[in-house]
Formats: sequence, C-alpha cells, structure tokens
Amino acid sequence: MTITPTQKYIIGGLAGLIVLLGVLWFVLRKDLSNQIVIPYIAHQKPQIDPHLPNAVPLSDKLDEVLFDGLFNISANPSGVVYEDGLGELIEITPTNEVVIRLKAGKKWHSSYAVKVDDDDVTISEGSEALFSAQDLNFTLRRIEQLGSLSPDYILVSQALKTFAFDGPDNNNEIRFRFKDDRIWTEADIKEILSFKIIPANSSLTAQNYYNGSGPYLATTPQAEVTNYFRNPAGNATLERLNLKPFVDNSTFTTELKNTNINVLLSTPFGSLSPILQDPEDFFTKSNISTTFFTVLFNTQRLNREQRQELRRLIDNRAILNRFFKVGSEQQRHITDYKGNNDNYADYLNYSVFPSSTYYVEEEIVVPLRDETPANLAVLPDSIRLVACINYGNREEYSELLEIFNDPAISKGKIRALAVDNEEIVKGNYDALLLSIDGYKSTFLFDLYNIFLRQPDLSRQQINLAIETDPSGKTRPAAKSLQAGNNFCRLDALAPGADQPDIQKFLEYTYGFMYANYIGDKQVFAQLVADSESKLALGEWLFSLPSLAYFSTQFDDRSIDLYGVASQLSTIEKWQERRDQ
Amino acid sequence: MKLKYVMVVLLGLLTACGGYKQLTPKPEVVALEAGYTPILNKDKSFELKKGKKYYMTFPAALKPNFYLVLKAARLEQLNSHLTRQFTKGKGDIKIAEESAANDDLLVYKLDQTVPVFTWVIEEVLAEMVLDLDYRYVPVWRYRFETKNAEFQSILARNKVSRDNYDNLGNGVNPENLRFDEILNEIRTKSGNLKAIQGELLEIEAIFPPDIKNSDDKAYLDYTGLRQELEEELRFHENYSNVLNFFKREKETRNNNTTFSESLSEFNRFFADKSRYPEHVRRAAEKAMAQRLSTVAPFYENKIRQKRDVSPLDIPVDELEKLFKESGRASDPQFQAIAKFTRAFNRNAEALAGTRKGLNDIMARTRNSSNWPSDNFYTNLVPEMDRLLSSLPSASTAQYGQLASAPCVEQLNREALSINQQVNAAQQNFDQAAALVPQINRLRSQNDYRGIIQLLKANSQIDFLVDQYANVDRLSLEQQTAEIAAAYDSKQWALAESRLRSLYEDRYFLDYPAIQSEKMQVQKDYEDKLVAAIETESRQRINTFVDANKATYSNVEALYASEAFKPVYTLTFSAGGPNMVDRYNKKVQDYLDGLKFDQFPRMAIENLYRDFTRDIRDNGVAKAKAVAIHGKYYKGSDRKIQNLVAECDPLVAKWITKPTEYRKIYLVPTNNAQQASNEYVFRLNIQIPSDAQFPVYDVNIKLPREVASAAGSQQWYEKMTMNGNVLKNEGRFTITAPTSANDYECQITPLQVQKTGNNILEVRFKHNAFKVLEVNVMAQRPIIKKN
Repeated sequence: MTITPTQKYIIGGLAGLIVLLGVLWFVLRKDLSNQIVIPYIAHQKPQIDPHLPNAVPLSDKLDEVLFDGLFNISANPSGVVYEDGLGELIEITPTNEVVIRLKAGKKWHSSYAVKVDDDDVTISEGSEALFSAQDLNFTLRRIEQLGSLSPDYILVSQALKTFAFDGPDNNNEIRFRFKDDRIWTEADIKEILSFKIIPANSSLTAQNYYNGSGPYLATTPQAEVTNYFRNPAGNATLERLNLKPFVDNSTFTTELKNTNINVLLSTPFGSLSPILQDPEDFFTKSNISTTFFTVLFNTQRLNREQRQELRRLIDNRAILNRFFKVGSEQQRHITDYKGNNDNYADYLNYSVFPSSTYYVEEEIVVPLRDETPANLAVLPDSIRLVACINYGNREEYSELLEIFNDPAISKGKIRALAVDNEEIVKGNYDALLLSIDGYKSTFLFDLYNIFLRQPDLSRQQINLAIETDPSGKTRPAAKSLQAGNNFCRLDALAPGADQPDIQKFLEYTYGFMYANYIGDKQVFAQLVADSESKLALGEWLFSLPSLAYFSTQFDDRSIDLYGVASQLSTIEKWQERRDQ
Repeated sequence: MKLKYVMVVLLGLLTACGGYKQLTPKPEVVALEAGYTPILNKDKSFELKKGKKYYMTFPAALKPNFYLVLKAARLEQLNSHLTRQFTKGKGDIKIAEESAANDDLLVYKLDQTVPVFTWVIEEVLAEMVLDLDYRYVPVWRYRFETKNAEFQSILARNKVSRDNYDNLGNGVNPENLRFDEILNEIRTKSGNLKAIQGELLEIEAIFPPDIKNSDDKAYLDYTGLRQELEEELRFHENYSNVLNFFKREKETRNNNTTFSESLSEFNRFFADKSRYPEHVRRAAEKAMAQRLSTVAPFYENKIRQKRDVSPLDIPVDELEKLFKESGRASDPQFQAIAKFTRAFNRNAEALAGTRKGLNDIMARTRNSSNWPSDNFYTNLVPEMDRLLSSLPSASTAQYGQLASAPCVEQLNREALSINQQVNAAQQNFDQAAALVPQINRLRSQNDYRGIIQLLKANSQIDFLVDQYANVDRLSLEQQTAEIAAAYDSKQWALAESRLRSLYEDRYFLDYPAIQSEKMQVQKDYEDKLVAAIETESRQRINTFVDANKATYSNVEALYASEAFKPVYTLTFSAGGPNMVDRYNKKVQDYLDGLKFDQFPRMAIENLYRDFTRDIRDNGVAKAKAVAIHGKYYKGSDRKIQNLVAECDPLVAKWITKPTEYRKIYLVPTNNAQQASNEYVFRLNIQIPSDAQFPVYDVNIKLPREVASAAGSQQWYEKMTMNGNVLKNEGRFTITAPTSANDYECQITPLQVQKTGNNILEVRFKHNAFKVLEVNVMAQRPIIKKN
C-alpha cells in the first residue's frame, strides 16, 4: 500500500493534532490532587461558629476543620475514638476531680503568615500566639453565656459543677470538678471536654470565628472564607481544603462527575446518582439524616382547626413516593448507613422530632398517626403554600412544589409557589415548605432552628429572650415568639384562644433546649411533641437520606463516617489512594 | 593516823572559816561540882571585841541534873546562848536559860547527850574584858540554895496564932470565937504553906540517892524546914476541925431539924477526938450535952404528926451514939421514941415489901415478853403465900407508949388492903393457871384466832389480856409468815389468796390497834408480790431472750412463748381492780417491750451479724428469721428497720446516692427448697436530683451462678418499675449480664418520679436455695454529642 503525499500530510496533521490535544489536555486537565474540594451554594457562605448551630449544613462541619477541643472526637473503622486535642487527660481522682494537662506549644492559626498567589500558598511563621488556659477560660465563659443556644452548654453544664477550673499549676495542669452523680469514665470526660476552643482575644459575639488550632487554617480573606491550607503544626495528610461555589445543588453530581469537585457531602434527594455509579471513579459513604422537609403553617392565617385539617390533607407518604418516584423507571434509589436500600418509609416523619432522632427511635416520642380524612370544608378555598428555592435544596424544593400542585395530592386545595425570600420574611403564605438542614438526631436536636428562627433564609438569627422568674429560675420571655419573628408566625403576646397553648409550647421548647438531664430532655420532648400536635404547627413530611460521594482519588479506607457524627470530623485522616 | 591529821586540818579550816573565834580557857574547864571558878586565858581574862563572835566549850556534867552556872559582869553587853551542837550561825538549837532574871548569871541545865556544850557569843555590844566564873552544881542544890531563905520567910509569915486554941474552955469561950475569920485565915495560910511544900517535894524528888542520911548542910537545912512546915499544917487542920464543930453547933442551936442533919458530923468529930487536947475535948462534950437535952420532945411531936406509912426519918442510932460520946445518958422519952421508930419502920418496910412483891408479880404477868408456860401461874402460889406471911402484924404493943400515933393505924389499914389484893390476885392466877395450858396448846397449832377467842371469853382476867397483848401481832405474823412462805416458794396464786385473807381479817383482840400494822403488812407484801411477779417475769423473759436471740429456726413459735406473759396474773389488790389492772399492765408492758422491741432488736442484730459473717452458713434461715423478728419489731430504730429490710426481699432497698454500689442480700421467697426457687428484690430509687424528670442507669452486678446462663435464657422473670413491666424495647435497654461485663446488667434509662417511691422490682428463679448477693448502683446518664 502506497501512501500518497496528500495522505502523508493528512496523517502528519492528525498526529500533530493528537499531540496538540494531548498537550492541551495535560495543560488544561482538572488536577485536584492533594486537595479536597467541596461544593457550596454561592450565596450561602458558611458561617463558622464552633459553639452555635447554623442552618447551612456546611457551617457546622467546618468547625471540625478549623478548631480543636481539649479532646477531639474522631473515628476509626470500629467506631468513635477520642484523641488528645489541646489537652491530655492525666487523672480522674476519687472525688471526681479531673486533671488535664494543657498541651504546650499549641499555636493558634494566627501565628502563621499566609500568602496566596493564585494557586500558590506560602505559609511562614508569624507572630507566635500560643494556646493557654486563658483561652480555655474565655471559651467556657462564652459557652456559659450562650446558654441553651449552644449544644456545648448542655454538654458541659450537665457535667461540671461550675464553668471554671483550677490552675494551671507548674505542670500546666488544670483541675475540673465534675459532678458526683455518676462514675465518670475517660470517654465521658473526653466527650464533655470536646467543645471547640477559641482564643481569648476573640469577640464574644462575632459572626464568624476563623482563628483556630485545627488541622486546616483559612487562607482567604475572612469575608469569603472558602479556602483552607494544612496547618503546619497539624497532622492533616492532604494539603488543601477548598469550597467551590455553585448557584444551586442541581449540578453537584455533574460537577463531581466532571472532576470540578471531588467530595459531595450530600446528593440531591439524598439518593444514589445514576451518573456516579462507576465504582472505579466514585465511592459513597452514608450516615444519618441531617435534613428534613416540613410544611409549617402560618398561625396568623390559619386557625387551629384549619391547621389540623390541613395536616390531615397532606399525605406525607404519597408525597414521599412521588418525591422518590417510587415504582417508576426514574425511581430515585437510596441507601443508608445501616445497609438498607430503598427503605423510603423509614424517612417519613410524624412529629417535629424526625423519625431518625433518638426521641422517636427510642419511643420517647410516639407520634400519633392521624388517618382521619381531612375535612376540606374547614379549609380555605386555596391554601398558599410557598417555598424559597434559592437557599439550598433547589432540586428538592422544585420537585415538592410540583407534587403539591398536583390535585391528586392536594385535593385542589393547595397552590404551591416558589417565592422570594422577602415573601417569607413578610409572612405572605398560609404554609411554608421548608427544609431543615443540619439537624442532629442525637439528644441535641435543635428546636430553636425550627420555631424560634427569624423567618429570613438569608440569615441565621434565633429570637430567644430569657427572663428570670421570682424563684430565680430562667424562663423564656413571651416576646421570643411574635408573629414576625418565626416561620409559624406564632405570637405568645397576642391574646387569643391559642395564646395559653403557645406560651406553654414556648415553655416546653425552652425546657427541652435548656435541659441538661436526659430525663428532662425526654419529658420535655414529649411535651413539645404533644403540644405541637395539639397546636398543629406543621406537617413534618420526611427526612432526606444522607449520602456522600467521594472521588476514588481518595482512599476510602481513610474516610470514616459513622452514624450521627459530623462528616468532616476525621478530615485530617483522609488520604489519597497510593496510585494517585 | 593520817585520817586523824586530815580531820584536824578540816576541823581547823571549819573553825577558821566560820567567823567565830574560840575562847580556850587555861586552865581548862572541869565538870566537877564546886564553887565558882574563874575562866582565864592563862592568868588573864579574855578580852572581847565589839562586833566579834566567840565561842567556848564546856564539858558535859558527869551526873544528871546538873546546872552550868556562868557568872559575869556586864552580861547585858553579850548576846549569847548555850547549844549542844554549834552550827556557826546556821541555826543552833539553844538550851533554855534558867537564871530567873539574874543579870549576873547564866544558868543552863546540862545533860549527858553530848560530850561538849558550846557557849556561843553571837554579838559583843561593847568592847569588854570577860570576867567570867563558872560552876557545875546539882540542880536540887542550886534551887534549894537560891530559895531556902524565901521558904523560911513564907513559913514564918503563915503561922497561925495558937492562943485561942490552947485556951479553949479555959478562959476562951467558944461562943466568942470569930469562926469565919479564923477559918479564912487558916485556909489562906494553909494554901501558902502547901505551895512551898510542893516545891520542896519537887526538890526532894531530884535528890541524889546518896544524900539521904548524909550530913550535907543543905540537906539538913532542907529536912528541918520540911518538918516544921508539916507540923504547922497539922495544927491548921486540927484547929479548923474544932472551929467547924463549934460553929456547926452554934448554927443548929434551936433548930432540931438541921441539928439532926448534922449528927454524923458531930459523931465524926468525937470519933477522932484523940487529935485534940483534953481541954478542947471537954468543951465539945459540954456543948453537945446541952443540945441533946432538947431532942426528945421534938421527935415525939414529929411521930404524932405523921399520917402516912413511910418509914420515920429519925436518926435513932446516930442520936444514941452522940449521947454516948457526949457522956450524957439517954432519957426515957428518947428511949420510947427509939423503940417506936424501930418498930414502925420495920413494919412500914414489910408492908412496902409486900406491896412491891405483889406489884412485881402483877407486872411480871402483864409485862412478860414471853407467854407463860403451862405452870407459870401454879408456880406463883408459894410467892403469894410468902407475900401474905410477910405482912406486918396488927399488934400495937410493939409500938410502946406511942402506939396510938395515927401513922400506926394507917399502917394497919394498908396492911389489910394489901392482904385482900393478894388474895384476889391469887384467885385470878388460879383461873389463869387453867387457861394457859389451853392457850399454849392452841399456840402450838398456830391457832391465834382460837387464842383470841379464848381470851375474849375471859376478858375479866385483865392481866391475862395484857399478858397476851401480842396475840394480835402474832396472828398477824402468822398470816404474814404464811404469805411469805407462799411468796418464797413462788406460789403466786397461794400468796395472793393469803394476802386476800389477811386483807379481809378483822378478828383481833384490839383491831384498831393492829389495823394500821396489818394494812402495812398487807401493803408490803402486795408490793413484794407485785415486784416479785415483775422480777420473775423479767428474769424469765430475759433468760428466754438470752437463750433465743440467736435462734433462727421456728422463730414464729418463739413469739407464742409463755415467757411473754407474766408468771402470774394478779386478781386481787387492796387498791381495788384498777390497781390490779395497773400492776398487770406494768408487767405486760415490760414484756411487750421485750417482745416487740428488745427481743427482736437483739435477735435481729445478732442474727444479722451472724448472717453477714457467712451467708452460706444457714443464711436463708437466718435471713428469714430476721424478717420474722422484723415483723414483730415495733420500735422506731432506723438501724434495726434497715437490718430487717436488708433481709426481707419484699422490702425495697433504698438507693439514695448515685455511683455507689449497694450490696443486697437476696433470700428466696419460698420457704422450702424447690427445684426452682423464687427470688425477688426491690429497689427504691431515691437519689436527690436537680432534674425535673430524673432518669438513671441502674447497674445490677449479679452472681455468676445466676447470670451465667443469661446468654441462652432470660435470667429474670420480670422487671417492673412502680408496677409497670420493663421490657427490653423502646427506650429501655436491659443489658445482658455476661462474663465480659462481669455479669453486670444495666437498665437504662430508667425514668423515676422526682417525689414518691420509685420501686424497681426484679424477679427471677434459681435452682439453688441460698442467699445470693447482688450489688446495685444507679447513676445519672449523660447527654452525649453523638
């Protein structure tokens, strides 16, 4: 076979083109090596406060990245482990004095000068700021001041006689006095002392806290903290952690597929993604649900009877099946950390306490399942159900709005609309479809984020006001619930038939959040659930499965997610596969 | 020899260093009796310097009772003393100086206790030449020499004039003597002379043995002085007697009563009349003869005035003696008086003797402390006869001329009366002689009521009632003895019966007199009976308790013991039924106290201690015994209640503190061993908490034998909390006990009520019939982040 000159040119051109393409690929390829890239909604930058929960799920997860406690809760393949953070447990005396040696030479991130030049990050020693007992004292003082707003307050107050310690002595050892009503094990003590510590020169009321001592330090300006670099004094394996902004979550799976990110902490719908099925490229890790959807009723627009009937009207099982397209070819498949598959019904909720929570799991709260058909005559002709799809979970919201608009679901009574945040702020709805993100299924389930949050999805504000009763005990002030300061538009100050029950509800909610005894938590959980059920403040729909996808860039054995723990709590242990 | 030199040197040093200078006379002082001998330093006197101190030694006397006499001028310029032991100013014991304020003499009594005495001059007030003489002289001699002149002078001054005495009756009429004046003079002078007589005797007492019969002048002076002194004193005494005789005679003149009273005095004078000179004796006889001529009319008148039968107070014998001594013959009138007086007094005394004899017999019958023997009254017959025969004769011839005196008639009248009394008494004695054997027979039968009956029937024999006056007491004593016998033999019912009989007995000779005593006996024995029943009951129950406090079998039967009842339940009391109830209640209360408090308390403590020492040693029986005792225990001692609770499976054991393991003994609830035995334990969780709705983890550490099969079969039958069944589902976790967790079962979270009881009950079965141990702990669970 003879090759003509023309053919030679063609072949040479093709070869050159191939080489050119190869060079271009090499130059332009997406290299995420030695870094962790996680997506986030661009206009929902995470707010970082290690002592307060935040509605943006990533916020609380980043606490583990930036901060250390005296002890850090971590995990290994067998379960929870406690590792020394800023402290070392020396002794538990028979009188329940706990001796902790504070680690010497632990530097705050502010000790380093960070220089960022495009992708290059240079970290050099700056003015050294070392962790000291004053920092611990400051942190304890802040937690005490936050009170029931902070889960750490509940943990610490149940164990320590006072929010204080003796010392340090010459050995840099401090002494905590633990309460005498239980035998404190090492694991108990480390659990209690796992709250994150911030430096004493911090503000007590900052919006964000960036200066920590954890495995990664922030490299970008504080107003836009999205990039983190390995703490030179830490033991993180991977060099960088970057948060990558996207408009919404609809493209997250594609971005992972396209290697624009390499970690997706939660998938749309919490379901398995058809485009991420190749195990050569991705692996998954499940843990317990942290998001549930609810329809909250506007108590200013719907009376109690109407709310009760609307609750009966909304069939969460039917909605769930539609949501996951159960039985269709497009069924969204799910899996959970226990190994169950497509167990949709397990995610149905019948109480403000989701079915995944300790309170329902342990039957402390046993929600009533009202099968009574709704009396539609009581309801208004058209119920305005709204949702703002701009603050996460766009895909899920859109799907649910469509479902609610289906007359087969709503009996023609509901008109579901996607609205701006302003409409929510104004309370221009009969019912509000809302996702509650980052909820904890543990003892520390957060009711404030549901009932006392300012109805403005663009910011996180809990409207809890405290007053002291004549006996010196704290109690919630009625002004904590006013029509304009919560999603349900509850008003404990406004006279009316509901007022006594609303006030009771507020009292129970506070009692639940403030309680640091398990028994009290349990009983107040029952009271809250019963009270809410009586007031009919919402329909609790269902939770989303929590499924994280990881690029096989990572060694799946180095990533331990378990049950109710934060997904990033072991981030410093994450490693790339050897062949990477 | 060397030692001697050393001693000399030491003595010299001591002498030199004392500040005293020794005066050594030459020639040496010689301890021989002699006159004053000058003390010289060779041929000169010693010169003493003002302010210096000196001493001089004198040998002891060779015989006892010697004085050392130092004589010197200007002794007042010396401050000195004599000592047996010279201490050089450290405190000599000084010998008393006896110079009797003689400025020139120093007199010291020497003895032979030391060989040398030291005369110490402590101070010389002015420079002087010591002109000093010394003398060793016997004490008696020194004293007599220094006092002889004084004695002579005293004797001379105290002699009484003898003029009146020597001329009494011969120119000196006793009537004219100033008796009191002279007697006073004699008394004073005799006193003075007796004083020097005493001093002389003192001196004589220290005469050396060899002085007597010697011709020592001092001694001869002494004996002469003493004889003269004694002769003067004898005269004083005689003169005084004479003066007193005449003085008394003069004083009783015209008063025969006082004269009669002085008869013995006059007779004593005449009995010693040889001491007086003849003229004195004659003057006395003359004076007395004149007085005796007046006494007869006086006494006759006295006889005729007398109306009673007492003996006459006429000193017939003294008068007759005085007649004789004064040399005057008695006249017929006086002789008649003497005869009458002697006859009357004899009869009066016989009458008084008979009366006394009768009274004595009657007194014997009445006052005899012992009841008469059978022949007591028979034996009185001769005595009564003797009384009758001793009565005076009614004849008047024996009284002579004065037989018509009224006192004679009175005496005869009283003699007749006594005669009648004796006869009447004799008749009663005859009757009594018949009764006494009967009484004695009844007494031998302790039949005092029979005696009382007999005496009441013969109440006219008054002395008999008196004689048996104690029959009431004896009757009382008899009944008392019978009660005591029953009491002593612990026959409580019999004792109570006899006590009741005594209480009802009113049959006594003199019931009002014996009543209070009887009541007292009644009360005493009732008290004793009550006390004895109480004591016996106490002793019986105490013995029972001691014997059974460790008993652990058939415990229920112990509480049915008779020991928990009084040894006797009283039915009678002098105080009435209420008192009976009170007595019985007191005893029963004590027994109930034992039954419902002390016995179960002691048994519980004892058994529990024994039980816990080794629960394998009849542990089930002991624990069940504790529980049964606990059923009877009504006390309020929390400790006891807790011990019972520890052994009673149905009593909830309190858990009040968190974190502390509490041991619980598990006793099978079935009474006899079975193939499968039932066990139950209850806990009452009462742990203070600030929580409004507390919950706890309850950990139960089980015996391996109970829990070892828990892996294949549920180890418990049932668990409940306040009656609600706990199941291993929902919020509750009941951890299986395994060898890995040391067979510890945990129940969590266990919700409890903040107030009120929180009873966790666990029931299980086990094939062994024994006491098991479990350890239980509750603690607060904590809220965890994850």
